[in-house]
Amino acid sequence: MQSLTAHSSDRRPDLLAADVEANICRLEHPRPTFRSVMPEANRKREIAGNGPQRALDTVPLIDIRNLTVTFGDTRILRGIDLAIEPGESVGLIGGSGSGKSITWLAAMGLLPKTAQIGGSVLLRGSEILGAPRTSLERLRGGTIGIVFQDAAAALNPVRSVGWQIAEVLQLHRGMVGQSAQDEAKRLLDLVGIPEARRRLGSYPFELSGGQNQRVMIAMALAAQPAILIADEPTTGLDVTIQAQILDLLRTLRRETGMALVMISHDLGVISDVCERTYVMDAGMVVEEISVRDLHTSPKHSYTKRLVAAAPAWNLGGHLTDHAESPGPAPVRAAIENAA
Amino acid sequence: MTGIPLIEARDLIKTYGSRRRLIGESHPVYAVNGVSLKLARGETLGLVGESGCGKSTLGRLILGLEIADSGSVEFDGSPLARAGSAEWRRSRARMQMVFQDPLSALDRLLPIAAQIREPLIIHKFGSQAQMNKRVGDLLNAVGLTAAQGRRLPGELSGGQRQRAVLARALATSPDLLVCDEPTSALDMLIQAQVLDLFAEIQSASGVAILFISHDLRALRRVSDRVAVMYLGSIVEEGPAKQVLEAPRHPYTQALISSVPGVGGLSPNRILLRGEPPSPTQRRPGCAFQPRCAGAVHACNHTAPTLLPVSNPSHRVACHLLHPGGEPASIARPVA
Repeated sequence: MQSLTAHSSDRRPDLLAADVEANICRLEHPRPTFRSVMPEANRKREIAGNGPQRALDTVPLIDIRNLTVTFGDTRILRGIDLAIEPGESVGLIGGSGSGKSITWLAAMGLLPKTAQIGGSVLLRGSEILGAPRTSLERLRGGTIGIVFQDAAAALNPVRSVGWQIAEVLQLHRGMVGQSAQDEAKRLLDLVGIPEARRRLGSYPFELSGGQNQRVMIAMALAAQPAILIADEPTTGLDVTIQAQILDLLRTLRRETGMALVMISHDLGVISDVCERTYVMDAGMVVEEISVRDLHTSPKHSYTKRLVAAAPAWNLGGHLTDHAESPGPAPVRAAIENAA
Repeated sequence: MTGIPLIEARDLIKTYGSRRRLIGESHPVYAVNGVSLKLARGETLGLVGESGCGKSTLGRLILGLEIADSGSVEFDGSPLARAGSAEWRRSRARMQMVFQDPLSALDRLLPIAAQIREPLIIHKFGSQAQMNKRVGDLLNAVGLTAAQGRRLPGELSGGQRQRAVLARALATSPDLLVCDEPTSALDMLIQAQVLDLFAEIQSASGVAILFISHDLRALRRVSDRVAVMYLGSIVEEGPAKQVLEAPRHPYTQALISSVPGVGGLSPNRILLRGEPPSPTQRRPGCAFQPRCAGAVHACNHTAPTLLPVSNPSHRVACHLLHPGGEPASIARPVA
């Protein structure tokens, strides 16, 4: 133990302070332009926006411009710009405290009154920042669905899941009675909960973590949102359950055509469900990049560090071509045995 | 390396009673069901499994924090002393633990340097000056400054807190470190730094580490060997590279293929339907059988045992690899 080595300075945790300094430096330089890496849809929007007649379908679903959040003297968000097109799947990557979640809490007016919020959040072209409470309440859980990390904590522990889904149906779609029950059952079927009819009477504590997350997703879908914000929806789950939830989100997006914003610090999760992603660090968007380029050509130093830190990608790499590998032998042997 | 393993656990079984209802029987929960494992000095064994598979219980049994219903744990060749006894207390200096949430493991009202000092005082490390020097060395070893040592846990970031917990665990120069999900609460960048720190400390100090995690990518970064648990039993165990890159048990294969890689989930990933069954509803045969795509008749009635596959140090409990329950080497080759 006496031979414990001193640490190389590049791994010191006071890196965090260095990060902040780096960002302050960055602020003094012109912001990089993202247009070059923007997907086709966004470029079209640019053109359409400048053109004489702006077609309705080229307005982004959500357009956040220079969003800032300050608590007292602490600047949490330093001017966020991002846009989500209808039906698009966009990632938001960043470390703890980078402002990934705060961005959406601020956009939906869910931050405490002590927060000073600046900038603009346009939903289909109309401002929602500072909108009256009643109209925000229609948006939250209505046009904009949210799924949080800890589903068990987000659900009401003393109400059955059927009751909670029916509540959303009543609030946002005016459905009551048997039609609400039937729709709730259909939603539980949709998110892959077995014996949906019986499960309507279950309480969150009777369900597993993965099932609770499915219930959360069913509740979000109940209001037929145009966009689903998934805030680390699989972080607490096991990998096999995570894979099921990611599959589910991908299928639902295909079937409902809703847009999806995936907030995560796991690049693998983002790569799986998103087409492009914003990278956030210390309250700023430092890079916007297509998922295809994320691992091969990240531009910003923070993105590069994130990619480099992702431990041991592609476990069991042979699984991609398992015809020749010894890996799945038992299953194959069994199939051959049975034949 | 001596012939005696640092830890040798044999046939550990631990059940928790479920509450008996007015009518009906109580169903015990088999948290750990017949686990044997060895940990050599200076080795890192990664223990992986999904929530509820009993991996944390196994870690607690090995530390003597829980008493097994049956089976034995030997630490450095002698049986583990009973928890709470004076002998156990002495041996505790040689085995330490690190848990997932550093904030709840630390005293919020005490500067971290003072907390790192506590085990030194308890185990009578030496003079004040010696202790001061030791605390300084430990802070330095985990990458914290003396100034950070004077702070309260609440004034540090999550990664820094986990470093402080690690420094405290290393204070008495333990032979064994049991880490239960030590990096699960940290984001990717900080996780990578803390995992590298584990590997570095391991090679510098020669401490053996039992690294419990559900995160295969984290496990791969630190482990020499990997054991995979499913519903209370180890289903596959072997060198980390072999288990993680060429898994043989169908469950390990499904688990590993579910980890999103560079391009997201593998298109060839093995779908596992449903969730692990409840550990109260025990059935004869292989615990994985209901979810296994290749299950054969034997899987229904006989529980498979861990037997070596191609390499003697790589063992798998699966009837498909060992038809008839005999070692693969003497088994009939499968057509």
